[in-house]
Amino acid sequence: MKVIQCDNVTKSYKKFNAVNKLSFSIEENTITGLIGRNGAGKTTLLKLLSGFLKTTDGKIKILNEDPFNNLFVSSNTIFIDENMNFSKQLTLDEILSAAKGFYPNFDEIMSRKLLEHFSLTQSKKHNELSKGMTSTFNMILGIASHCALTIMDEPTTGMDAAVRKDMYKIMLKDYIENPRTILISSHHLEELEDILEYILLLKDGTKYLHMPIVDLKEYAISFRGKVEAVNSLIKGRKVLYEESFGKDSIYLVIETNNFQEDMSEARAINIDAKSVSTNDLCIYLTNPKQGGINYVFSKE
Amino acid sequence: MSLVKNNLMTVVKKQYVFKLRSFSRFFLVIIATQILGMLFALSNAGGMSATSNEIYSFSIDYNSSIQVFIFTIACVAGITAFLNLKEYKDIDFTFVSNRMSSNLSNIGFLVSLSLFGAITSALSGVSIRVIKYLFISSSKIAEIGFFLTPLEIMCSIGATFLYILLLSSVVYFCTAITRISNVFIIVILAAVLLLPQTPIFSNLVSFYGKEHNFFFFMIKTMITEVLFFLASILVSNNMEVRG
Repeated sequence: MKVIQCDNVTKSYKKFNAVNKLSFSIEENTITGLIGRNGAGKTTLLKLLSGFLKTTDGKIKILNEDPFNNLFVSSNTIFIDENMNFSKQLTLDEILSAAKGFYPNFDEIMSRKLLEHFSLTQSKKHNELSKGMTSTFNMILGIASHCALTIMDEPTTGMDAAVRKDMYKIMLKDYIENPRTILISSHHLEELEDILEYILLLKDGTKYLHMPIVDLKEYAISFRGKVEAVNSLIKGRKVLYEESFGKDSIYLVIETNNFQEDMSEARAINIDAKSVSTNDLCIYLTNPKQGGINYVFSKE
Repeated sequence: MSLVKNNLMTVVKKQYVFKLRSFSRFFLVIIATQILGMLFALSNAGGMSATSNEIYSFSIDYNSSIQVFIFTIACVAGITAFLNLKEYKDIDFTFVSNRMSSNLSNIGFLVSLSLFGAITSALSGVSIRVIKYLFISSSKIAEIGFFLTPLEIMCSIGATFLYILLLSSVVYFCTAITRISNVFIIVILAAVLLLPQTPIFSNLVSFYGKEHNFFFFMIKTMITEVLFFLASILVSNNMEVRG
């Protein structure tokens, strides 16, 4: 079953399209990472899917229904971000009890154990927490709610690396025990990629690619070596990233259809060929301009 | 993961209870405001001093709980405006909600708040009388209108409740339309400043304020409240949230 279906979705603010003719679908019980640069339209898309915002054009179906202002969709969705609002007079303990009231699948026991694990005092108020602790609490709420569709927008903002790592482990463990559809946006793809099954890459409000993360790992190949030798390997394929070293050395990232074949071909002519980390690849794919920082400091 | 099906009223009920817990402090705010109103009433700030000569001195302190009423109605109006602020409105959308359930639970909360304000307002009127009786010397108090019968107290609670809710529904509607466009803030401010100078205002005051038949008064105010709340729901039903 498709949990999320987007068909030509556009969301405009005045003359700017935050989301632009976006079409994709997400199957039930999968974890998808939503990746993109700042301003790529990630948050807008997640809020459209949660039914908070109205599409300007196109159709969204969540669990086969239009999510905007929809009680059924809201009952089966939770949206976690750093701006979650709670009354200033409620303690964390009271918020968890309230969550149990709203979400029947909410695992209250686990949520309290997690508070303890992350040293969050139950009697504290939500607005008394530090930025990292707020994110930790919000993410606990998101994981424990066991909603059919769990949406998290940059849930690890402010968390230190150890907590982030721990949190992803917990999320994966809980997901295996309670499979559901999770959509998570993050800037830390390198930390997240181990738990992701799919990746949806946005660029300028539109879909750049949507594929299993395993395939993304063999989507591109990098070559490092003498300019002529490396250039001979391009064979008209798309160059994703290029950086010069010294007088005649170059580092090149190109798209590949056959990773293994390209790898052995490069090694045969003594070119250093490697796979590209998914994090770097996403950065190269969404680069606004070839050349990056070098372009800024060039005297052109 | 099993899918959850909720009906509107179940969610409204949950949200209403969540609101009572989240905003219980507002009830204390009302009490604090009323204590302030009582202090005003007891200091005779709103009472009317009359005349005195060498033999008699008297003061007419008519309607000693009017200050408390004014403070209460202003307080509930302020809380109503708060509830429609983005910060408060978004709290509903942290958990399960749609615009309708959010509005209905807000209205439920405002009805509770108004009823609480009306009861405590009437009781503070009684308290003022008791304090005056004990401290100002009972011999100086004219009996007429001073001692209240239970029926009078009930009517006072009922009328106060309807007045508080009436203003609350108007404020709720006003804040709902300001969320569509900031232009409405100017329109509302202009209306607040200009309306008292027009004959429409005095007509409204006599329509709602000078009705002697309690039943008709009840019908008039309740219909107006329902209309304002309905209009607020219609206006906000298509609004985006957490944007």
